[in-house]
Amino acid sequence: MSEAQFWPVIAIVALGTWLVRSSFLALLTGRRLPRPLQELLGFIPAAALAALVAPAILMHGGELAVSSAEPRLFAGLAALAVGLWRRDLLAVLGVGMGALWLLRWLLG
Amino acid sequence: MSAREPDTAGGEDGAATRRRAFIDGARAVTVVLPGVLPFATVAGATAVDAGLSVSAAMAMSLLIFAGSAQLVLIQLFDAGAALVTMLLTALVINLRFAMYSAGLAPLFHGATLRQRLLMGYVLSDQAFAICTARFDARMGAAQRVAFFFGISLPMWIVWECGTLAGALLGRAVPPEWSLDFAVPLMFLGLLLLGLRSPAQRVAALVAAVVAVLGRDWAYNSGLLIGALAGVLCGWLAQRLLRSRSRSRSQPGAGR
Repeated sequence: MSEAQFWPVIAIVALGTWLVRSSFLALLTGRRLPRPLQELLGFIPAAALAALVAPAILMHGGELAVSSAEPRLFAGLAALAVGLWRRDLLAVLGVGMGALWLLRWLLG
Repeated sequence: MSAREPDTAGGEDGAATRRRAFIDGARAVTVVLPGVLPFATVAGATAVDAGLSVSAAMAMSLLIFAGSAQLVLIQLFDAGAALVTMLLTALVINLRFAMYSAGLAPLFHGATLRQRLLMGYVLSDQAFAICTARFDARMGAAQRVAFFFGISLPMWIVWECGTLAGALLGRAVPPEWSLDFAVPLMFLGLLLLGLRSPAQRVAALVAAVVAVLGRDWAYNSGLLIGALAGVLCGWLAQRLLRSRSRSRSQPGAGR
């Protein structure tokens, strides 16, 4: 996709985001979210983020990311371990990027 | 007597009270701002790293103003995903805002429509978390609105400045640094912060496994199918765990 094709995506997602966030606040005032739906929505962040993360850390360029040039899987596991231990966004980012660079330097 | 005159009887909605509520909100948000700034910088830098212009990166930040959705678009643009995939994935990741919107709506009874529509533009995970934790029954509608915007204005400023700085810096970052890896790392950090219950962990695990199995499916659909499978399994796990704990606490009942 070229950037020219990407602009409409920005516009549609912007409008969609605003509509979802305004939904019950401004557009459907007085209505309530049915309880089962509320419960389902509660699982979206965990499920969607995990679905985004797992393939991106496991694979790179269509191959398992375990090569000396792209040791993303190991760097991702290091970030996961730190994240489970510290629950700190910056620590996950720092350790993940640092581990990627360090492993490349050690292996390459 | 005009309708805009402050309610002197209770003093609840006076200008001074509103100003104080706004400052309270701004004070409450300061603890999360140091975490928002690097997130914004990554959103700006990775957008440029993925091949987008600074103006496209800023348009995303200004018009969408939702970190996760922006990072989703960047990752999928970088991966060459189809348009439909981008729209659907961004929508799914944003659906949590429907929950926030529904949660906050009763707290803002009395706010004007214009205020509510503006709130829809700046509503964030942080604003939702702080408001639900800090609001009490004594606060009037005007006070709550001021408090909400006291949280949201600094958030907005930090987010926009951070993405701009990142977008400008991003051009200077050499490709060997693999800045694109920062996107899944951010998602990983957000994921781990949000995993609170066993059912949430089930949802994340199922979604991850399905997304990996479906990594070659058409239109990157493994992502969406993975997310939906995770949501469903998490929800079922929660029901199962709940009914089990219920039958354990009431032995012999309902059998």
